[in-house]
Amino acid sequence: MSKRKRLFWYSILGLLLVIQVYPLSKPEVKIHNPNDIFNHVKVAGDVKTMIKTACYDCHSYEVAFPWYSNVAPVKWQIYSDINDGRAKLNFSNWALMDKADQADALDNIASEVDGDDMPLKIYPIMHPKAKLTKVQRKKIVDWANNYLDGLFDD
Amino acid sequence: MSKIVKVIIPIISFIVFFTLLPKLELNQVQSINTKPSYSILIPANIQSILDKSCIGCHSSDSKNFKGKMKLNLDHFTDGKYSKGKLIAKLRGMAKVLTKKSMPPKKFRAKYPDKVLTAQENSVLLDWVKVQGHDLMTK
Repeated sequence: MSKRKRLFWYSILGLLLVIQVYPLSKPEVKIHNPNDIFNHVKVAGDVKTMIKTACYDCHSYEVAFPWYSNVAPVKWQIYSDINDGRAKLNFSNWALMDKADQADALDNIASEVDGDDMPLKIYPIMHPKAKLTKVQRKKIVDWANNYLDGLFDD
Repeated sequence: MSKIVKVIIPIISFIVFFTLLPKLELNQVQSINTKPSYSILIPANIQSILDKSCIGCHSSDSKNFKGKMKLNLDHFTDGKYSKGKLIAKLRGMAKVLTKKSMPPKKFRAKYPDKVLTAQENSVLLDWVKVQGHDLMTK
């Protein structure tokens, strides 16, 4: 390796090490969530499993942080995705939401999942189980729409 | 024999028809009652704001598929949205209007005349909130 090339790779390595110390607060993790949607709503087993595996890492307090989520710059992207996701919808806070917000959330779940906008394209690369088939998508969409249609029945 | 059949069959079918008729009608009424359709009356001042800034993407005629899927304002008046859907769409509109994020940035840059004025934004926001509240208490 030429001196120049070596210098290049060492500087990349150095830069990677330096960015590791950039402080960034880790999104909070909570295991016990009494207001979680599944503590309040009966959902068919397969739909529940799909939502837990495909959505919960960003849309709940129950996050499973993989090893690479501790390594910058990947860490920055993951933390920001989790914070954005929770701000838009947090299944762990479902029972605290007002009914119109629940309605809005269900409507968005239906359109995002139907339109293939969620989960984010990048997510199933490392989480193959979160790659939803058309049939699976339809199940989630139908669940969200049915739940929404009955939300104001009482 | 054939005379008896000729007389009895019409009589029986006559009786059966008229005993079943009220039941059929009742079923129809019930099926209408279980699935009420909801629609919203849009006053002229609101309609003109929607026409100016929203309807281009959020109606059945729109070529913007995503915009149409997320919100189709035609379904506010044609009864195609369920009560739940209507409340969801109204809350979604309230959020977007509060953030002042609609129409989208690119659209605003391209069509400055279709930007919602501060006045229009707040009028529409107030209307959307009231409609959502009314529907929820209905």
